[in-house]
Amino acid sequence: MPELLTPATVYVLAAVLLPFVPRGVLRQLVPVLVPLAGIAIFWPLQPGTYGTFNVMGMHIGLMRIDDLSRIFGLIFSVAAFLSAIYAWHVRDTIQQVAGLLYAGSAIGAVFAADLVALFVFWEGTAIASVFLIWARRTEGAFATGMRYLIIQVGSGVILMAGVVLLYFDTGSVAFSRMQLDSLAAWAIFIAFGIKCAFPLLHNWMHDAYPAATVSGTVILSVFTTKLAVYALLRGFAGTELLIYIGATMALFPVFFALAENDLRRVLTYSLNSQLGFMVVGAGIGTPLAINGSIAHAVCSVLYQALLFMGIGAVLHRTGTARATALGGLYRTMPLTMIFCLVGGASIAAFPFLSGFVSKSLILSASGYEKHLYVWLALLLASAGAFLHTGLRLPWLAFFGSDSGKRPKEAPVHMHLAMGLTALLCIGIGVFPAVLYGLLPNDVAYEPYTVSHILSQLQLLAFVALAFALSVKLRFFPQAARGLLLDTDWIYRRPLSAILGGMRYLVSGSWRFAARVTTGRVDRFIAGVYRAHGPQGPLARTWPTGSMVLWIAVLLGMTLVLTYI
Amino acid sequence: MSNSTRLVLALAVLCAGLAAADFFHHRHSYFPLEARTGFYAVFGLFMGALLLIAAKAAGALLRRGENYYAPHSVEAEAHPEADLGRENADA
Repeated sequence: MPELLTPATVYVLAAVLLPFVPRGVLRQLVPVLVPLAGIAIFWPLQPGTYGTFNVMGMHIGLMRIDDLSRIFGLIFSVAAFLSAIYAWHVRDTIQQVAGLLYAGSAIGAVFAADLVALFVFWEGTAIASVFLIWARRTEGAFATGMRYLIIQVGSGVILMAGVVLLYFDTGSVAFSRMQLDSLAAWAIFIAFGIKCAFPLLHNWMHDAYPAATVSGTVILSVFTTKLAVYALLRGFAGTELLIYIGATMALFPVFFALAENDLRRVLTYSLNSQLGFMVVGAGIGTPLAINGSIAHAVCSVLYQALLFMGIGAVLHRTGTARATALGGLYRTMPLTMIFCLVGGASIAAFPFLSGFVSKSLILSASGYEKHLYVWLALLLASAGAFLHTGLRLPWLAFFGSDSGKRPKEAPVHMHLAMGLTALLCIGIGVFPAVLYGLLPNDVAYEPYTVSHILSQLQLLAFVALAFALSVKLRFFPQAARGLLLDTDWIYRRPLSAILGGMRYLVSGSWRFAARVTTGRVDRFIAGVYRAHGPQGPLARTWPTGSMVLWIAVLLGMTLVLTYI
Repeated sequence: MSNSTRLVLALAVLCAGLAAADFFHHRHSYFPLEARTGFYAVFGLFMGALLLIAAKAAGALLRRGENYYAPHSVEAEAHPEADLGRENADA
């Protein structure tokens, strides 16, 4: 009998029962307590695989506990806990259930020991999360959710295809290290890449995340992409291709993040860029780099959630997250501003904040492996992160030109969630040994050397100087209304126009063919009716005399023919 | 002198101080390029400026109206009130 008590079961069970819990404090408590229960289940377990059974000759394992799954399980649970506190005000059952199912699927996927269980949870995250977008309940959100769902489920289908091919090749569905040498491995790699928002496969993310509800975006920012990072670390660590993908990924969202008007989309681009760092770490694949990638995933979950919470609070109070409609909010939302600054400083890797202790690992790893251009790209992306998220975002929302808006401070529960998250960001920065102790590889690393701190401070100060000068010269960062075209333009405009044209062609030719065919069939039926209908010559009743006459004619013709 | 000018000057002084520290501390470096005096200062200032200029250009090139994808996008819509808790600060 397999042990079925896994964190994922608890989440799913809670999601099923939640609608029956009476509305009120009890109902709001469920999403807060479930993550704690989840941690209580997996944390005490010794490394090993639990919940194993055989299905159709395949070996399924629901709970693989090792250093890698344990730390991802932990940070996902913590993030689920924090976002549940943040969403305390939400009374929408759909969002509560979707949030639980989404977090449960992501945690289930992290613990899955085989690719079949991974696939099930992989699709679970896709289907559950789309409801956080649809919960906005507008036409635009519905269309956005559809696009998101198609791509996410598509990733799952490609994963399934890869798993099937792999099973035929090797006879095993175990989820372990793979080489990019077969179609199966490539399919799985691309499925992971879609969810990880590789360059050109990334557009679902910036399209969908800013379309979700206030608390929905916070939850979305945590799971899907970091699950993909986990999957890459588990399946493709040390794949060189990932280094170059990651470097591109770290760099190119920077420009969008610097120009975008919707601040939640700015954060989505900045999240995309941070994922690039993790992918580089996975690609380098040395023990230090792997540690760095995991540590950065942990820190990034926290500071990115903190930032989404902060801007979410602004949206909650003002009704907009557009930079052009904001500015000067520090007067009435000082605490939210401080939390955003902590998040911004963390992503910018200020010493004694979480980003510093995790980003250093990846930069050092690329330095040790002598990847000069990758290292430069990451350094540039770091400078960019400080510019777009550490400086431009708080400037546009809380300082800058006064929008005249005087919103009330965020509700207490949002402050509590942001405060706890900010504390974790600071705590990890001040006591990195606690985080390093949870990482799988035993590598001695000291982030706080004079060289590191000094060079990072120099970089940040000069980037800040560039920013300050550009503001002073009125070159930047004035936001402008409007949206930025990204590669999703291809399928939202020309491709959809081509598809529309093809639909027109196909439906036109179908109509033409149908008209011609029905015309012919109609004429045929009319002909039959003419001959056999009530008035038709073949349906008439004939007098016996004419029948005898015709028989005589027939016999006569037979006689003539016989003699010819 | 306005406050903002003072702020920029203070920042410039801080930058100068940090850059000067390079002369007193030999950096532990991974690449010869990085070991050069003032690498991070020059990189930060110039790359920061370059990013800002590039982003401005990208914005000019790629920006479209909010209704560009309407009605299939959320840009053209207001955030639904049901999801908000609008309140103004007490005057």
